[in-house]
Amino acid sequence: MTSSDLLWMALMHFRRREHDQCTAICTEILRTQPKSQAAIFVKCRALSSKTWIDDTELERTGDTDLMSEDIAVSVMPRPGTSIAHPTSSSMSGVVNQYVRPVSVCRITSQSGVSPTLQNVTMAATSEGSYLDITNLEFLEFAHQTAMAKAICDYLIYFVRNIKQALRLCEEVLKKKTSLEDWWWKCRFAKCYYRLGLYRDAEYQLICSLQNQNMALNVLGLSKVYMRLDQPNTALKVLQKGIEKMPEESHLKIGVARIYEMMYATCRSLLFYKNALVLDASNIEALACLAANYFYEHQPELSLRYYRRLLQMGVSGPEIWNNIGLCCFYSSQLDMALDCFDRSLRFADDAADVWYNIGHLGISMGDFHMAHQSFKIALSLNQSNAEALCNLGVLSLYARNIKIARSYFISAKEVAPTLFQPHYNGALLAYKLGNLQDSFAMVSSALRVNKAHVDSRELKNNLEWHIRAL
Amino acid sequence: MEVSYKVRLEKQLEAGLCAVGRFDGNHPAVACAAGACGQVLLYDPHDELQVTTTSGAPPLRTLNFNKTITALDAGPLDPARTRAQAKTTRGVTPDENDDKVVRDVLLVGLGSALMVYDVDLNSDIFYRECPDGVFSCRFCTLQGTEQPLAVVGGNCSVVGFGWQGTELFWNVAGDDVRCVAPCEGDLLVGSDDYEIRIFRKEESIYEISEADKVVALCSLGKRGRFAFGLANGTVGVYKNNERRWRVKSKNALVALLATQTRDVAAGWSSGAVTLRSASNGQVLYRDTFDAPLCSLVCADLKLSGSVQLIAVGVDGEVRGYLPAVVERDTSKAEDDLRRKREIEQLQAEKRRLVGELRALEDQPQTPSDDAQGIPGDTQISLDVAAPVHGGGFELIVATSNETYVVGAVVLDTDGGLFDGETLSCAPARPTDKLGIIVRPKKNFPASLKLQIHVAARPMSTSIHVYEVDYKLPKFCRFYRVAEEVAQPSSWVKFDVPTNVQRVAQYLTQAFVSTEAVETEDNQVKAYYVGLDGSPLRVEATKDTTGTQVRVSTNDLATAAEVVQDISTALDVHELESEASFPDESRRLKETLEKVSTHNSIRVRLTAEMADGSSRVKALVLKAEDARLMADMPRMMRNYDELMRVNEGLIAEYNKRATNHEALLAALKQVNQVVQRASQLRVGKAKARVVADARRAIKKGDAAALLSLIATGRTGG
Repeated sequence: MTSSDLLWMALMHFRRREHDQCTAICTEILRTQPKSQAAIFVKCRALSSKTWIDDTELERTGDTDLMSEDIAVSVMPRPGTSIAHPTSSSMSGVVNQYVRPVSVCRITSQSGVSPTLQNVTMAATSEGSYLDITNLEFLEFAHQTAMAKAICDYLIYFVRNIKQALRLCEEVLKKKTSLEDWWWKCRFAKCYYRLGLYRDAEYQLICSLQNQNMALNVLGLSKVYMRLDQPNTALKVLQKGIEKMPEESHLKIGVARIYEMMYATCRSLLFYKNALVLDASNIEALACLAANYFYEHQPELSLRYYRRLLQMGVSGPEIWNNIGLCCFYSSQLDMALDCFDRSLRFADDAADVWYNIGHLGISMGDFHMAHQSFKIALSLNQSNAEALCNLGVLSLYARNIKIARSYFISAKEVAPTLFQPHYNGALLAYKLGNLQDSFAMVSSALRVNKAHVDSRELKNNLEWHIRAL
Repeated sequence: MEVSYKVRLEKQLEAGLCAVGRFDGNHPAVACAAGACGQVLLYDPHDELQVTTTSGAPPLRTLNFNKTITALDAGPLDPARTRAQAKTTRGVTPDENDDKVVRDVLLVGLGSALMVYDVDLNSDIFYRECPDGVFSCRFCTLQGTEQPLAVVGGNCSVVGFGWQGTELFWNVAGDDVRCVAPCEGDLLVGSDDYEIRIFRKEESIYEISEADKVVALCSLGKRGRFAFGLANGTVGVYKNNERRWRVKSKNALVALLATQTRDVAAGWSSGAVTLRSASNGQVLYRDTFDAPLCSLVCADLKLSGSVQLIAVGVDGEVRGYLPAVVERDTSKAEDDLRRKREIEQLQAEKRRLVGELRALEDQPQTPSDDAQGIPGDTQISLDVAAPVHGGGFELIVATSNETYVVGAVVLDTDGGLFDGETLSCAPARPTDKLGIIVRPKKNFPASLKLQIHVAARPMSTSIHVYEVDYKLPKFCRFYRVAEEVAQPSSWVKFDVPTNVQRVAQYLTQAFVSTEAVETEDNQVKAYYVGLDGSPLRVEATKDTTGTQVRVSTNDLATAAEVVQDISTALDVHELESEASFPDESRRLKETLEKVSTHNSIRVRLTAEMADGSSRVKALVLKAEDARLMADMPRMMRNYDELMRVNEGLIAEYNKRATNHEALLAALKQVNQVVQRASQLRVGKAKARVVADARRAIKKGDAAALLSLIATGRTGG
């Protein structure tokens, strides 16, 4: 086959999003014609599309960022002005010895987690890289806009060599013609953001916005402000963007996300619904609404949203798990089991699913099945404190007091922030007449959750007993 | 005045960095900078959300800016930012009258960036990089702009930002701008070149030379009066461009403020607070702190209904002062005041008479002793002579008869002309003549006081002191020479609508010269040599409308000074000029190139450093992990690597710091050239040059800048 045919093949693969095949063909072309710009271009595009991530959403901060200096201005912000100190943490008043079934997993449109800082910088120049970036070969392409853009994306998304990408951006922006190009400034900002230079990123994004009103820039800017812990500034930027682009659903999603982080659920839902009006198949909005209805004890409504997601072809362990939970809460137990089954088929990490199946067992009265499921959950994830706690309760029912106690103790060790094992342990100790231990444990349970009525009652009882002694 | 309350914040504060504002719209809060890591502490005595600390110190809110804070101010930047809006944003229901309550925002200068921060909403209003640096910043409402501006004084420049972060005002100053202040719609700018400039819109209406670096300025709120403070401890008051009074202190001035009653409050590094009357500088009140003073502010901190003067010490002590209850309107008080004033006058008279009496007593008892006294008809003559060597000119003092000049002291009342404030000379062998070499540090028409000690014999024990005033010409650094000097490569050419004789007259009195400048068939040629030996030629010829003046000098600054002085002396309000400064232009071109290279290097170095610092973080974490897992070899490896990365980082930092300094110096040079280019013109042309130059710098258009110097227009 001639090289042009090969190139055509590569393009076809690229269009079908078969990036691996596309890359392979391009590599082959490049072996014979190392200077073929067309091949370089297609390969760059394929590789960066393959590792492309939607980086408009605020990613979780890495461990390294926790150590680093505080970039937020206000140490003690007023209520409602920061995400680090939300207005009211929503304490669900669970008054159950059992831990309630957890993890309605968040389903988003994200295809991958964007790498945290150390990944970016530690990433070795990967095997697939064929442009010798140390020799600065790429700077030759700075004057060819399309080529430079492809290479820039390749550097940012595939090689993850931000420094080099920055150099390329700088080289391109030196030309008078590209001074007005919002795209380059946006990429500049992306690089700065990845490097943690948020103020520089902010400046570039504002410049870029002046050139061209783009939703991407607005989202980027709001992300920068969220990083600086200024949700109100971020909201202001987004609102301004919405005024200019009222049809843009992504901006509404952005607003909803921020409200969600600030625990302003009502407003967040409002914006998710607004977004759905504009874009009826927005996965994130659907999933968030579904999860919200689930937590508001309306599993049937939630089920409708999940069904819509399924219809759209979104499928995965999380969604089946969530549907299972909805069915479970709307008392369609047979359906629930089926759904969990499917979820297990997809899942890599099935501990949570098994845990939920265990709950199903408890509510059906099939303690044996429950026991087995929790055991499996535990074997998959050693530090599943909820499973440990529930196993403890089950053992109590089976009159294995010693085993129950050891379960509670290990649950406490694994997750000291969970109050149930403390309370259960205290209750057990109380029943056994070990008032001292019981008092200590119930105190720690109350430290974790002040609002737990049963714990308080138990403590009162204990105090009465101790005083009587 | 009396102290009405004292609060101890128990924190070390940074001197001079303190502001007061109503950040929530209702209660004033004091914001002070503390520590080198850029913390701002907010003291709000009325904040309901805060709990008192156990030690009894009042609660403080902390804001982290993570950079050294160089300036701080508070004010209502955007009048639309009411309290009601803030409350709805925070999810609190606003009250009825919240719509009218305007909140203040905090203005923070962070070395090379300006951040305007809304404290109540925890939100930026804007953040701007200021490559010229932020040495001082103030909220100002100026004529011609509807909204209040955040005015930043930096490296030779003054920038005003609107609340959206847009640049609405830009101007140049001669050196680093240490203080800016609004003054009834005008802008006061004090800089390190001892100058106070008053800008009205874009045009500078007055330029006042002072004796030292200007560190503080504040408007006194009526008829162009303002107070100033200098680095050498001088405080005084100007009305427009004439000085009303000034006093000097040994301590360094930290804060200057106009109180509600329009008096001048000054805070000193010794911890003293003095309140002086604005009209005559009389001390009205004095108080002393244990520690140096941090700042002075005016606010109603206690919500008592009247504004108090608040003084803050660097050790965190806050004192509020209430004006003493004076019944000014009753006739008794007035009577008292008059009587007091009369007594003061009589006391002063008494002191004077006592001094005179003492002097008379000290005089030789026997007036017939001619050996000691000098003839009564002794006259002192003062002359100027050519520079001897190494520049400077000589003031020659001579007596008219056979007496001896044993010594002379030159006092510079304005200061700043010599290294100290005096020059003295006492030759070992006095004659009837004495020459004092004067080498002024700057061109300034100072009035000198000469004390000349004359005695009948060289070794006489009693001497007569003559006091002579001498007014230096404006260009006291240039001395006129008779023979033609070398033609400098650069010149500036302009027309003045007067005749040649006026120009000649001007030249005679503006430069150090022994004889008047003569006109020869409507032409004037005058040659001067500067203290550093640089030539200066001024030629004037008659043309159709008036006189064409051509000033040739290699130094752009000198040319600018000459143009400005001629225009004031000849009463010219609008002046365009043509100039050619090849050397200066070449240097400017080089500087601009330097700026662009430094800028691009800066981008790279910043990326490099951010990369390094993220690697450091990762390595610290990895090493710590290894330590916890007791994997000592790996821990060692990681720490080893960490050390190397860290060293690299420090090296990068040093590179970056040098680069930054070079960049700052280059930018300063550019600003200075713009300033001088504008000073080659007068009136509208001057303001236009500044505005056009700013545009050209932003675009990086070197050609436009050069054409601005040459013709005053960008078009060439």
